[in-house]
Formats: sequence, structure tokens, C-alpha cells
Amino acid sequence: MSATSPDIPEARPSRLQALFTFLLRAVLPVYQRRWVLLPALTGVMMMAMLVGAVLAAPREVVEGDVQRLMYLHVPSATIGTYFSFLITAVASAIFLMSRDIRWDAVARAAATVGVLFTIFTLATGAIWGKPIWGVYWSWDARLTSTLVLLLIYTAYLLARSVAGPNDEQAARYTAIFALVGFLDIPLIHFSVDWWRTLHPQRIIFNTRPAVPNEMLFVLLVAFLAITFLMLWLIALRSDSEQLAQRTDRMRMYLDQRGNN
Amino acid sequence: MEENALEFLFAGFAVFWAGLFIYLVLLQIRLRDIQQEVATLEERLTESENTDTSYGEAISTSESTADSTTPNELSKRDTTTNASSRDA
Repeated sequence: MSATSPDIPEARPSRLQALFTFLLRAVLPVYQRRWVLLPALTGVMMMAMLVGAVLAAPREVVEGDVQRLMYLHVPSATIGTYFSFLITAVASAIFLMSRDIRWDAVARAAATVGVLFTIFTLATGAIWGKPIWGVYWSWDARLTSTLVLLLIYTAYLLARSVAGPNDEQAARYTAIFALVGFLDIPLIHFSVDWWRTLHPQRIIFNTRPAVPNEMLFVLLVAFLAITFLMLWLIALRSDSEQLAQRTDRMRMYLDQRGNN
Repeated sequence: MEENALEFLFAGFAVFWAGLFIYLVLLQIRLRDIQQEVATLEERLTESENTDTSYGEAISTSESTADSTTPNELSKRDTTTNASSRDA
């Protein structure tokens, strides 16, 4: 009788696993070079956005030059705010499932950047609104729900900063808070459809955008610039938060060792 | 509606760039604090390791001294014990 075991056929990876492996292989080399790629790409695209917005884009006939604020306001709102808080929500969900505290650092980093971009969105919107509407602020649905979003994630950051960077219980509670807070984003996005607002209807994210191609091209450059800026800021903050977690663990270890 | 409104355009871009600059400065300050914390921890770790080394050396020295004296003491003790038991 032969001692060798029969050949067991290798389990074929599922489509999802294959896709995950493919994505990981594609993203990992880019991620490892993030400190070279992100600042360079951000710098180039931000300059291109500035030149495009101020010089290259055509002047809007009705609103005049102030309409050029659209190239800052719209990407800050959609990419900077929505995607940063999406990353916060996803990282919070992964933290709740895996209990890996590093995901809490990613969530906090994305929330910080999201709050920054929400402030930019509200500020540029108010400055744009003054010559067009005659007021800086109006309590309409879009503006108010965006302000509520800012308050939600500011409260999240405040609550999280009270506890230490490795406090798992605080991280768990704030992760749930971040996930619930994300529900405000669909409300913001569809507020202009559901309620009558001073804020204009969506003109970009439609099947047929209501702006000329020259403006759309500059807007695309602005979207890319804000995307790279957001990713760079999140990467910077996330790494610094993870470093803070490691130093905190090291300090606790040395304190315990000193006490013993 | 105000015509042109270039000052508003300038104000909008200024707010964005100033905010970004302030955020980066704050981030730099935070990173510097963490670097200082790392340096302090490194010092503490080095001190702790030095203390452990001197403590370890002291322990090994006392053990070696004990090892060198113990057999003689034991033999003396044995001799005394045997003599006293014989006397008895």
C-alpha cells in the first residue's frame, strides 16, 4: 500500500477573492510610494486647478467672475466632504468588525480632513452666496444639513480626543457615532430635490450636466486636485495618529515596567 | 446682484489657501510633539535597559560569590555537625 496521500485539488479562489487580490496587487505599490506620489500629484493638480479656475475657464454670463468659486466649492463638498466621511464610516465599520485600533486612527484622520473640507464648503458657499443671493447664510435645507454634518463630526472628534489613542471602548462608541452621522450625507445630497431651497439644484451630477464642456474640463481637474489633496492629508494624519498610538503603548509599557 | 464681485472670488480662494496652510502648520506641530515624545521614550527605554543591566550584573556577582563560599561553608557545617553528633 502506498504511503503517499492522494492529491488534494487546490481550492480555487472565488471571484471576490481574485478581485481583492488583483486590487491589492494594483494598489499596494502605489500605497508604498504615497509619500512621493501624493505631494507631487497634489501640487501639480492644485496649480492646474488654480490656473484653470482663474484664467482658463470661461466667465459665466449671469454670475460673473464669482462663479469661479464653483471649482473650489463643488469638489470640496463632494470629494472633500462626502468621501472623507465615507472613509471615516468604512474605517469605523472595519474597526468594529476587526477590533484593530489602527482603523480607528484612519477613521479619525479622515474625519479631521472631512471637517476641514466641510468648513471650506460652508465658507466658499457663503462667500459665493453673498453677491448672488444678497446674504451670506440662509437656513435652507442644504446649508443647514451641511452645518449639522459639521457639528456631528466635530462632536465625534471632540468625544474621541477626550479618551486616549488606544482606548478601545471610546473608539467603539465613537465608531458607532460616526456610522450614524454618515446618514446625514444622503440627506444633504437629496435635500435640494426633497425641499424647496435657496441653494440651486444639482447641475453637475446629472445625466446631462448643465455646464459647457470647457467648464466641465476645469471642474474635472479640480475634482482630481481635491481628491489627491484629500488622500494626502488623510495619509499624513492617519500616519501621525498611528504613531501617537504606538508611542502611547510604549509609554504604558515603560510605566508598567517602572512600577514593577 | 453685484457686478463682477472680484473681491468675493479673491476672498473665497484666500479662505481656502489660508485654511489649508493653517491645517498643515497644526499638523506639523502635532508631528513635532510626537517626535519629542518618541525621543523621551527612547531615553527612558535606554535608562531602563541600563538599570536592568546593572541590576543583572549585581545579581550575577552576588550569585557567583555565593557559589564560591557555599561549598566551604557547607563542608565546615558538615564537619561541625558530624563532630557534635560523635560527641553526643
